[in-house]
Amino acid sequence: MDGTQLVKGVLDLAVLAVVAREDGYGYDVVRRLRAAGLDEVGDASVYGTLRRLYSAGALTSYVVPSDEGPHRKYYGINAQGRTALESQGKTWAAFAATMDGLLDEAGVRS
Amino acid sequence: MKDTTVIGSAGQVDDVRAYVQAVRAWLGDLPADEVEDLTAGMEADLAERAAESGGPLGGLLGEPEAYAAELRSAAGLPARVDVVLPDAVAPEPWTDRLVREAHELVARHPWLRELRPTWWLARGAVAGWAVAQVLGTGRVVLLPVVGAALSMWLGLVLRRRERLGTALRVSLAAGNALAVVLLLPMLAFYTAGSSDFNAVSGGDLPLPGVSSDGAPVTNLFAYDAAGQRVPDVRLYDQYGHPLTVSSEAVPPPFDANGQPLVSWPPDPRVLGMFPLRLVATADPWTPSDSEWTPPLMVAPLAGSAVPSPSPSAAASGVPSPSPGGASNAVPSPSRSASPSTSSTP
Repeated sequence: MDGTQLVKGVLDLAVLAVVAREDGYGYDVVRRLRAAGLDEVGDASVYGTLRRLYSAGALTSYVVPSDEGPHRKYYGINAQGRTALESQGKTWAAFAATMDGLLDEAGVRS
Repeated sequence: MKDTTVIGSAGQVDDVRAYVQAVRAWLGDLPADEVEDLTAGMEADLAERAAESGGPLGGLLGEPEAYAAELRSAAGLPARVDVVLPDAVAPEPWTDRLVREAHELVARHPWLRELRPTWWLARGAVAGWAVAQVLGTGRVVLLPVVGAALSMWLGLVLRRRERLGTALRVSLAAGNALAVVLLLPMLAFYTAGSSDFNAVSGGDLPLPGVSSDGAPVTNLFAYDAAGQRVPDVRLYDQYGHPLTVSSEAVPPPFDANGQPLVSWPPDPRVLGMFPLRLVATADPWTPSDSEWTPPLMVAPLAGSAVPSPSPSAAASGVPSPSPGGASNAVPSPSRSASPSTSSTP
């Protein structure tokens, strides 16, 4: 199965999880997602997701001026974001457990 | 890691800027603040990305069009609509389209950026030339050089700016467009100038010196209104330039054995006093190889042809040769308007 399709479904959760650990700017979040093993994640998808989560009120955003180059835009999580992270995390855990069960019954070791 | 700002090379900075501008162009149908939110900080991020990988962004991220589509899809924004329902949706203005396509072209071929300073020089030269033409000054070299330097400086200053105001952008675009239009006339002006120069050095121009009906004049014989010879005349044209015959047209004098009598070409002053005295001992009124032997007198003009009445002309001293003036170089004013008896026909 194409990994990119799976990533799309859980990108919100993944981004919330990364930002919840530490504030980050767009490319920083991309890099941390890739370091965690989500190689298929597209740059623009992460930027778009950050923007959408911010619009939905789950993230805060602030600009850090730079003396030497263009400004950086940082994102951080807020209370609403943490709530969303917890509920979506539970959904994911339940979903993953369901999938594991299905695969176990099929005799596939996950 | 996130506290370090990675600074790429100047080429990378340009590449990043072009890429971001192309993405913005593809988001151009969205509200301006939406575009601003989506692309804020993008330049810094992409600069870091480019600096890490060292390649052109087009190779790392794909076409700006696909990048913009992915961005808006992930952000939950509608896909770009400009082909669907052409009646309902205002078509992209051709200016926006031109700008977007230009940005995309540069994003695909970053080496095009290297040509920009050349254009800055060219447009400055055009502006200087145009100013020189409008003012009518002859400074068709100095002003273009000054213009090129100013334009180069302007280009370098504006390149460092992140965002330009609308007024500045519009006037820049108008100036550039005008420069494109005037480039051809300027090139025509300078190439025409250089071909004129070639004509001069190529010798297509008429012979130097006095000429009459296109044929070189090799000698002049002056007679006054009364028909008397006037020796040792120097003539000036309407610009105050002394008239001379050309040493290329005048045959140098030879003796009976075919040996040259004088060094050639002679002193330029010799070629500007008429009739010519090429050989000091010879009578200038009887040149050896002339086609025509000047007579002692020519027919006097009718009185009406002389602008001032003869009495006053006589009083002011019309030069008239002394009798047998052939060997006398200095004209002497005669006290009488009537010709001297010896030369009366």
